[in-house]
Amino acid sequence: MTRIKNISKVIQPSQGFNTVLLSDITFKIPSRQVASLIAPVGSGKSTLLRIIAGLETPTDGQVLFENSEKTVYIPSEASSFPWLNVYDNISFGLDHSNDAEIKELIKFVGLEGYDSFFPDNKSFGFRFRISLARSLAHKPDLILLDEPFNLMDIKTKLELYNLISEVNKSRGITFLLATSNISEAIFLSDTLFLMRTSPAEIISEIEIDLPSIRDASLLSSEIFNGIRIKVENVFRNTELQPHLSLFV
Amino acid sequence: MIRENIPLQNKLKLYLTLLFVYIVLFEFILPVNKILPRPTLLLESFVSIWFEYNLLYAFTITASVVYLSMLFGFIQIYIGAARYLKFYTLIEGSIQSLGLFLFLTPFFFLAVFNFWFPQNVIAEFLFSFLAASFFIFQKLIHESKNIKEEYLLVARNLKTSSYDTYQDVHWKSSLPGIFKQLRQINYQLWFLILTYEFIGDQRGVGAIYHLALQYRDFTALFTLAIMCGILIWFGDLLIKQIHSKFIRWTP
Repeated sequence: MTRIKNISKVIQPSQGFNTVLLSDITFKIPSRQVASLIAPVGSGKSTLLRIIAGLETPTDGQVLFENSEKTVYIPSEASSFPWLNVYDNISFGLDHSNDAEIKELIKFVGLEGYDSFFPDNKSFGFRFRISLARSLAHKPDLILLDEPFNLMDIKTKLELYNLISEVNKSRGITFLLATSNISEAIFLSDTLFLMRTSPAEIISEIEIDLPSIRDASLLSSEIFNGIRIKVENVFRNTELQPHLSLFV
Repeated sequence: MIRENIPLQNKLKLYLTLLFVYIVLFEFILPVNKILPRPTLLLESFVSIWFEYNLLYAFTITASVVYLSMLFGFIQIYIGAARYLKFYTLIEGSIQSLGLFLFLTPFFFLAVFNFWFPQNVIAEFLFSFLAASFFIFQKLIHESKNIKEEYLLVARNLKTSSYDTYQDVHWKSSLPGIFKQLRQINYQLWFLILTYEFIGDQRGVGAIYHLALQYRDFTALFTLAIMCGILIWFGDLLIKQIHSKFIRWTP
């Protein structure tokens, strides 16, 4: 379990006023689950994820790991290196890469036969699979996903949701997904953290009670819509105009 | 410079038209003038000039100085990219406070090198090498400041050492920009070295220019310009080929 304890972040520009981006954020990311952080665009989700990954320092508060958990952050923009082929991208940053392991990962994420392909000019889905495989090569306990599905079509999104579920279930890896898409978060997650903006604060935590095997038909089900309305009501009650994008 | 997106056929038409105008105007209408030499005179002197001025030797020296210094400059920056970038980040503030030196023209450095090392081809090569390295490094700094944030985040997150990050991420991400700049550096170096040889008592093409000007040898000036143009074009073509063959990505 990872505990986010009283995290605050104040942006101090060289000119102008200080802005409180994150205010006293506290929540627990349950182990071996997929959790989602839902908040409007520009609310500080990326900053929070980077703080959890140790890539930014908070103004106040701390991130506590139960064990010495290895955390990997996947940015929202395509982050596979265009000058390396799929194989080299996945083995990037490894001290000792195991050929069989890398090939197994390539197959696992659905890129079999593409080992020597370069990601430049490839789809966002293709590049996300590389990022995911590269993360898995580092054997993480927690993977932080920063709105990775924004620029993908619905078919690719569904394929990747299933892939994430498979990684979560078969490898026991915890995921924290930052998103502004309510349906995406409900479809993928076991727990939702709803975050308001200006400054960002956690306003609600919702456990998702849906079958573990999920497919596209779930999106139109009554239970799914029920959860969705519940989430939207939480945001409405906080007098926010969140502009949360709807599931296509 | 002719824009890249003009089709080859149109380029050819344009060149042929210019050639036609030149031949008609200066061969038949204005054969005696001080603007451009007669085409037949130019053709005749094109062969003799090689022996009169020992052009092969001069072109060998100048072309070697330009292209070898560019090659060694590139290799040097490639090998030391990580160390140089790291060092640069440490002294960046001090360098910016020395901004006044930016107003010194390259001509000053040419003159100083010529003053320190007169008639020295090694000094000429050293000057060209330093200039090429400076231009390439300048581009590397510019490119690595505009590197995609995601690449650096990933490298930091995967605990890549700063040396590997500079060498594997900064350098690789900067390569397309550096290769684009190399085409400009090719032109800049030719200009610098021709001037270097022109103002000093050197042995390259610049010195031949000086001599041709002293002799008021009109056709020699044009022959030299054509030959230099062909060599610069060849260098440009080579850089373009290497770029398209080996640097296939956009950062």
